[in-house]
Amino acid sequence: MPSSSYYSDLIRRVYVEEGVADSPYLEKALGRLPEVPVHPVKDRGEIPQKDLNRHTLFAGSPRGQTVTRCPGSKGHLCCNYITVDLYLGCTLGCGYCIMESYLNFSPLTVYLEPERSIARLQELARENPDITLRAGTGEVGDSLLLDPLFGLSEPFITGLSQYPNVYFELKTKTHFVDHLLDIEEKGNAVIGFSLNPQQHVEAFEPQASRLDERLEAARRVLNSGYNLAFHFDPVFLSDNWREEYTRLIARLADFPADRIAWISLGTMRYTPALKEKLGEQPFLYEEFVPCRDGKFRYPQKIRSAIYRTLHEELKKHLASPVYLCMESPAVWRYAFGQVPGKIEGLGAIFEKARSV
Amino acid sequence: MVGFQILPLSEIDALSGELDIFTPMKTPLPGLVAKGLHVPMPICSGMLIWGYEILRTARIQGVGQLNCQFIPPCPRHEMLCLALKLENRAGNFSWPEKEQMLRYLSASGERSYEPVPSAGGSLPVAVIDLLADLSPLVEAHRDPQLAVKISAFAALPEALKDLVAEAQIDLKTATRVQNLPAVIFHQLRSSGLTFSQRRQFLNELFEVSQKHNLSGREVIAESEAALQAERPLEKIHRLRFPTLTAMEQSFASIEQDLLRGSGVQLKPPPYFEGEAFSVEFLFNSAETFTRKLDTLHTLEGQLDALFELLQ
Repeated sequence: MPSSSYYSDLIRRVYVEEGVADSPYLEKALGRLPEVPVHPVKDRGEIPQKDLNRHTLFAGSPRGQTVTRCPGSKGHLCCNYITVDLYLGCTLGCGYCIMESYLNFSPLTVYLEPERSIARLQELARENPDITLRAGTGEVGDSLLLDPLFGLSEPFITGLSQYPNVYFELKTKTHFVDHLLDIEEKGNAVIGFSLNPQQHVEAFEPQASRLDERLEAARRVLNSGYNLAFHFDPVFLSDNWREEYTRLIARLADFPADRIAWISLGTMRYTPALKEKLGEQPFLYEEFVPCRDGKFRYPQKIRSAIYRTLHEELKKHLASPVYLCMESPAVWRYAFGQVPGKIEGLGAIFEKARSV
Repeated sequence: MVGFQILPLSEIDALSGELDIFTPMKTPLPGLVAKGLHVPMPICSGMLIWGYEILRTARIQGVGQLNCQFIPPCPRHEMLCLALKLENRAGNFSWPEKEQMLRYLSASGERSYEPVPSAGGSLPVAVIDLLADLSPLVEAHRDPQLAVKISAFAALPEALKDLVAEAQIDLKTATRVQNLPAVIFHQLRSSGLTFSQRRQFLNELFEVSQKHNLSGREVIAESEAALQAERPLEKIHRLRFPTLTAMEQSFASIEQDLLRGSGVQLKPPPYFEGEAFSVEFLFNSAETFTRKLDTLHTLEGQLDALFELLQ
């Protein structure tokens, strides 16, 4: 578990919205941040301009829906993942992060009323008994970066444990899992680790946990009874990409395939707005072409080759479902031979829940 | 001393000329200056605020005295503000003029605030704020980043500064590519490329140099080779996008071999993203229709090569 000083370096001040001041999750977090000044505010609009940065944490309650379907991307196949807003924003500062462009506010935000989201997911589970629901908190922030402080994942895991059709995922680039190990009712909860070869971690994810730490954490959560997921996203093209990713995949060989709920692949991509924010990152000097959704990706021929290779390597070691994140039907066909609906084992992953 | 006065040139020459920062745009009509028909030249705290072009014209014409207006003491930035209003060229100041404005304000001694890092070193917050406030008179719109931009211009190597000052390339591109060898900027001046072509050329050359970690000598060699080529941009583009341009060439080669002169157009999906090619032709009789179909049949033998471009 990260130390209190880790968090007090990260969080220099906390603004608390008046409706959540009595939250037990807040009390837990502030107990570990004794030196950090706490300011009560009516709403986030009261945070002074000078404090609108990532060293500020805003604890509040959400205004609108917190459980929504992944918006997908025009012309690309979406896996219909259900996203849950819980921790918004991230301090890991990865050199490629899409959040740099689409989270147009600076403070880290934590929504302290998980009950609403849990109730909504339970409702969806009951309304879609025949459909596998995949949901997670890792879309607009790292699921576990702040979780040792607030402990907000626990009520989700236990609250959804009785629903056999719900796979609730906590997606992370950290190794902060130890606070989850003793939760008794885990259900189908999935701890998903974003993976990249260590040299890319050092270059582009310097604030995140090292690859070894993530894999060791994966082993710990596996042993405590969780399902796993691995996300190779973004995959970077380099002169040695085959060797780098082949070596990384080989390190997964001794994880039991039946406990890996899914593995996703996605190559580096960016919107023009993100590129403006990224500055001179070396991976941007590769070839990128505009795609139908306005994002830039490696040329289709290169992406297909990357996915084919990674898929083949994964199949050598693991029989777990592998899918592509935000890829075109053409790339699916060229890399996997078929679109997901026609690939055995992926139908359930891509199934669309009703009324999300 | 406040108010209107007619001063001899010798007295005006003795004033501080710190605000002689504008490039002459319009020379005042000599006859009018000689008759005293010119805007009174404002003077404040021993500094001539504006009217240096009138002064130069007067000297050339041998005019002995000029109309001046003494104004009450005011902060230096207000003097610049007055000079900008009298110059009345918002949106038309050159980068060297803007650099002079920054230098003038930076010499004001207003450094009591925390400095902000910028391309040209650190800028006092006071100067950033002052230039932001003056920016409508400089740029014809408010630009909070004006000081930072001017500072970036000031930090450019001389050869690039010249190109930016002459509006041959934009500041953003210049700032990005400033570490390329200076000789490239000199080569580019005589290249005959348009503004947008120069911009693309420099950006792509810079990206190639970064990707392949080229030495200065290697970048110069690539630049020279490209600029000597019939189509410089294409040459650089091939280096920057080797996979894409190779696919375009393969496609063009197939199309040329099989379809040239046939009137049948074959098109790949944009950027070779997708699964389908399209063909298009016009026909006006059964005979031409059959001929086009015959042409299309010749494509059959090359379909694998075509689809290879997509997968």
